[in-house]
Amino acid sequence: MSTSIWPKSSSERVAKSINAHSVVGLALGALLYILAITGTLSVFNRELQRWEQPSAPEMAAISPDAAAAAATAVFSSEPTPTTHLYINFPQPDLPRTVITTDTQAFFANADGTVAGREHFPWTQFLLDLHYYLHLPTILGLTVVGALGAFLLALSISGFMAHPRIFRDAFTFRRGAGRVPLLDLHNRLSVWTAPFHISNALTGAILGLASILAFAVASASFGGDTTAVFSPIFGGEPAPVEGDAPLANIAGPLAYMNDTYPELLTTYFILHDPTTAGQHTTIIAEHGDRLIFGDYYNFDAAGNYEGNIGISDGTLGQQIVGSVYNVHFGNWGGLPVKLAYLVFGLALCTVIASGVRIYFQRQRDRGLAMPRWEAAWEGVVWGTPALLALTLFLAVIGVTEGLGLVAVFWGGLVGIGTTAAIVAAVLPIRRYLKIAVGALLLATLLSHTALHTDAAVSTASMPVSATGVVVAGLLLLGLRRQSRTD
Amino acid sequence: MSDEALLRVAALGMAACGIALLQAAWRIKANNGWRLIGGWSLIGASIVAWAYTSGADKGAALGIIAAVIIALLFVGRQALLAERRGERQRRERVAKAPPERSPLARRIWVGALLGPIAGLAALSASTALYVALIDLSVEQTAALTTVFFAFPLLWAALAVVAGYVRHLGRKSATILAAGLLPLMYIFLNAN
Repeated sequence: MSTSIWPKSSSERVAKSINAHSVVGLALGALLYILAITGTLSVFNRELQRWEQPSAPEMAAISPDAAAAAATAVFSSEPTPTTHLYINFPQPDLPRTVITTDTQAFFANADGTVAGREHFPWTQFLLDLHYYLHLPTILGLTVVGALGAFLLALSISGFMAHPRIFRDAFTFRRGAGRVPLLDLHNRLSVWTAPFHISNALTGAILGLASILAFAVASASFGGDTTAVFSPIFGGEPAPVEGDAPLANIAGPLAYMNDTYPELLTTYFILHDPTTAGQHTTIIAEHGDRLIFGDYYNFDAAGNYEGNIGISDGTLGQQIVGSVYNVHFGNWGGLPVKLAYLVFGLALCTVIASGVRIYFQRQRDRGLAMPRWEAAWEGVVWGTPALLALTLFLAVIGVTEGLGLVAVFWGGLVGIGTTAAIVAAVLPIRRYLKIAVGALLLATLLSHTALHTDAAVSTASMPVSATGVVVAGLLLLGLRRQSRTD
Repeated sequence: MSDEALLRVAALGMAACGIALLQAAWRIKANNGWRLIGGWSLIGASIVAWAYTSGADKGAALGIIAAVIIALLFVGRQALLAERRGERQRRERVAKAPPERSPLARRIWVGALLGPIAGLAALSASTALYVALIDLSVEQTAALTTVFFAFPLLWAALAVVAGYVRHLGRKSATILAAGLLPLMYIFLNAN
């Protein structure tokens, strides 16, 4: 007789695990879903930045002298000296040079002259939504980090609730009702687990780092939170009083090009410019690594003082240095970004289907909740519809900043409430899908009309073409469904 | 084709064969030991090959991504080939389950337990862990990295406890103890 290696599962354990899974999923499903959608789109934030300003000057590289000239020009133009002066260097997915101060940011041309102001209101709105849920910085980061911890809790309880998780790993049944939805939820959850667990964990680490640093600092560093991070990222020297001429900017950049030609300089920071204590830091990417880069420090005269050690320091530094890239998927070019897109969409589907399964189970038990079910559908399709609406408003220049925040959150409450009153899932889903497709097409048409000179540029085409495909698939899918019905 | 490209193609092939073996193992359910070991070994070897071509950390991550994408393709194929069945049994089984209702005050307390209280307990436990690691002369960045990872994992585990344990007193006691005991340790250590 053949024997199975699988342990017998306890039905009580499964029921209790499903209970834990449902409690967290129902309480926080909407916020997790918003984070999943915005996180998936944020992977392409550099492409979206380019698309919002397709006419900005682009270049594969900029010389140290040209970058220094542009940075000096921007610094000199400000009446109040900035405390930090930054240069963002061209990268394959964002081939632009940007000079940033405490208050503003400008593009630089390849010859070192200053071009127009950097301005990408919708991408900024999207990133702020994903990083902070539009809450004040530390509070928002903490709430988002906590949601990462709850997504981990959902993964743990989901695995505990599924005693046949491996045996069913390839099972996919079709038919009406809950079974195909359950299979979709379970299969996507299991196979994309490496992604959603690592993403939830790294997101939670990024979000909760501030309050953890506060607690560790209180217990071990006399309340000095900067002392917590300095062993990993290096400390900031104390400011030194007194004036000095602007530090050497081109020298450190040339040193990096000459000494480390295999590294990609991505970021330059001049700390406390024109003070006696000014010094510079360069962040450079290492090709075959998950780390975001390493910090290379120079004094005001441009003399190299060593690196911090994210690339070659302690194991702790190297692990923490990888957290950001693992979360945002910007460590392997377009193929990895596309994989993150697939996994991100899978996570959105897992969250949306998870709550739908709960409502279907309640219906099967004779406890139908049509208003809540319709409200959830309002969140599921209202979120992309409102993202498309805010994109449209930003592109045609009607509003930005707080205006977009108000449209999104006000709209979401409005759609959820209306859906609950109407209490009909299918029409809500249908109208919101139409809204997503129509708003996307309107946005793309407006963008093309406003940027005719750059409509077919490499900055515009990838996002515009993707938008057309997404809108087309949604609208054609609805048409096909209407015929079937 | 370069050696690196060849190795990557071989790695993709190993991952695909590994997943096919796992699918076969989980379909037959019994006497499937060699298929399971073979499947996981091939996936592991594919990740090692990726690490060899693209760096230990980045290559391993690429290998995992490739394996997940291939697995999703297998599941997608399964979904396309699937037959309609199994609905009635499940519906009947669910219909027999009694409806669950709990008082509002209990639900609010459970929400507080799995949210802010579990969070504070995890924060307290993580801080105590940092203090303990430093006391044990663990290198500082290693101690910090450990607690950066431990904090969300502990919060997640305590949230699961809050939802899993049915007895309200037991779940409250577990979570409160998980926060208060480390706090006592930090306090005693400081004095």
